[in-house]
Amino acid sequence: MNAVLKATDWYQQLLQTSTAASAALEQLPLTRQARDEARETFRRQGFPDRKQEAWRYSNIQSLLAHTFVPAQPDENAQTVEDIRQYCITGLDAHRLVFLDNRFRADLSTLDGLPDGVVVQSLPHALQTSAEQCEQWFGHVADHKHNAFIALNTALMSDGLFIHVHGNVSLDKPIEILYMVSSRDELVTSIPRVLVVLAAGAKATLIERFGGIGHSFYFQNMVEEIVLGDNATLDHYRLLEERENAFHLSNITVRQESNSHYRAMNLDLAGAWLRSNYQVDFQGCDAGCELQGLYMVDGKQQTNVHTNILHHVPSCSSRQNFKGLLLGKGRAVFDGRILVAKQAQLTDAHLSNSNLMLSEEAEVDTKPQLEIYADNVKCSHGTTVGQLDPEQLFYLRSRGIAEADAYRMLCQGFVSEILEACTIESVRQYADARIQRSLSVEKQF
Amino acid sequence: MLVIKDLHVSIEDKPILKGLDLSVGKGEVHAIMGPNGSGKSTLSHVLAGREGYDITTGKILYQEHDLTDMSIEERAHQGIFLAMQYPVELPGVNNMMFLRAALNAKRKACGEDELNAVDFIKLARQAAQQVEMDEKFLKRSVNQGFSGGEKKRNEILQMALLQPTLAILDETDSGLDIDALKIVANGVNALRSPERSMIVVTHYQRLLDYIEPDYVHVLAGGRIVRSGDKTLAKELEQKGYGWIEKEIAA
Repeated sequence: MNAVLKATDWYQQLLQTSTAASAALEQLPLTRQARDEARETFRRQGFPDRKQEAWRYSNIQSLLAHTFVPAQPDENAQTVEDIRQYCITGLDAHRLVFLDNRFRADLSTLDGLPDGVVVQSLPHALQTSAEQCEQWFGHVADHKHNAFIALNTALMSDGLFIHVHGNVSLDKPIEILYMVSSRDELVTSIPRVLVVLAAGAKATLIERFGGIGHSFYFQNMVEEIVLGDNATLDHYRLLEERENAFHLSNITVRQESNSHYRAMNLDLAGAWLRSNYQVDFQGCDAGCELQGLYMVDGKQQTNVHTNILHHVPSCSSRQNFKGLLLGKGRAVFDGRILVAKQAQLTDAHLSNSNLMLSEEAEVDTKPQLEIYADNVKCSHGTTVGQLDPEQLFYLRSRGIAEADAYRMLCQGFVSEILEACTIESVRQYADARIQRSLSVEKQF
Repeated sequence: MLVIKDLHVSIEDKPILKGLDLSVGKGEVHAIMGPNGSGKSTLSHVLAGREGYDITTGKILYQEHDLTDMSIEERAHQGIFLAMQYPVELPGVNNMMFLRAALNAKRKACGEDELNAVDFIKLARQAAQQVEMDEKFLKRSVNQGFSGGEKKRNEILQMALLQPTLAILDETDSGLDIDALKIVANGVNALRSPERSMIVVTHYQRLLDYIEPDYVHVLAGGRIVRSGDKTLAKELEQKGYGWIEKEIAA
């Protein structure tokens, strides 16, 4: 039996036996319905294969070659002190911890949250019918067509609900750590997050993903984001997974009029990473900026997929992703912009550049513009290049050692993205991680 | 300081320099002139150690050491500096950071302490003043979006910071208007010293009005075909290169 069928079988069984793990969610009509639908989706279509365009370049086989069981929460695992060592130095933030499939309020800092900001465990919010939670849960991300969203919906046992009330601005960022601490291999973490910013609200979210137990795990995340009129969300995602870990995120953003979404996606570590961003413009004059950086080395694989849906007029989207490819690393960048017939005055731009530092590395970059309106400004550009020998010679002729010259040029290449990190401590943290990865590179 | 003996250099089996001899003493300024394609830039690049040039025969001795044994960066550490004809842009590489890395690499190689950021900034500001460069260029990416004149000033600024013992100026005048040329030349003249030798490579005599050489050599067909003092440059200015090429052919 091939790996895909075997994995499909495995997850089918998991779906049938998983009810007990989340009894609370099973009892709520809303979540029960979503779970039933998700199970049905998965039963009907199973995992995607390479015949599907969105998976054409991604090696799903390596993910499906393993069978993962949901990580068992352990209320005694980790202390506040343990968590502190993973924090970014100098980052002043409200901290939330999602550990082994549990939102750990005891490890989080919820006390200082300003009025008008609600942070709750997702099942708790659903049970207590928290305002906006029922309205949006399961309605932003599509569990009826996407196998991984379906799996997350059917298997999730906990999650986070963040609601910022109208015209409330958060004083400092919310940092969320999604960690796997299980000492067993082959566990899966299933974070589920719903973020609702009401009209005029403003927030910054810094999400970080990693593992502190066995390095062989799989995080399958679903994030639903709703931005009301004039709301602004700055969204940082730092993928710092362990060396054998798999990570797949589906981030779906629904934007009302004049809202602004800004994403900074930093793929820093992990064996296999995939981030799917979908931005759905529902109101005019809204804008999104998606930026990111990926770096692969060894046999790492990373995938960034974006899908910007301009369904309404006068929205703008900007995308700028850069990749550094070393060793036998592989990257896929797949950026789609859809401009519907009625979406006149759309302003959309996409850029992807890749720097190949090894002959064995590989990148597939695929911008897709589908434009059905006739009065729009849309453009895209992708590049794949190597370090320029002229630049290397220039630096070396000034006495800078070859390895340092390489590093300086690589850092120069990524600096455009890092400079867009407006939180200095996050920028420094990411920069240091990249420098560290570049300095262990043997081929220099 | 520098002795070149019977130097033959090829690029991809095509001979460019064909038996070049040159001797540059301490503190001397030598101008190398010649028509396009005579091998002027090849000579500059070979001295700086650029890859892609095969030295088939001949010797280059710098401070009595065989230069060809040294890597590009070692040559820089030993005091060789090439001001480039086309300084390359380094997007995202901050000029100040680059200059400090260069100076500290050299200091380290010479067994000196590395300069901290504060001390370095002082030094860089002084150097910028010396070449009349706006300090804002120190904060930008190296050469990115610089005009031709600004790029050349940035080269001379690097020279001022690195204090080379042998500076090679490769067509430093190309692409400069007369005002920019004067500023660059002033910067170079300020760096003339009995301890520092210079090789000024140029197609036109005009630069030599501002940087007065001790010796002028004419490079044609891959060899030095004539040497003299600065009056030779004037002669070339009047007669062009044609007569020299004819003389060689004859």
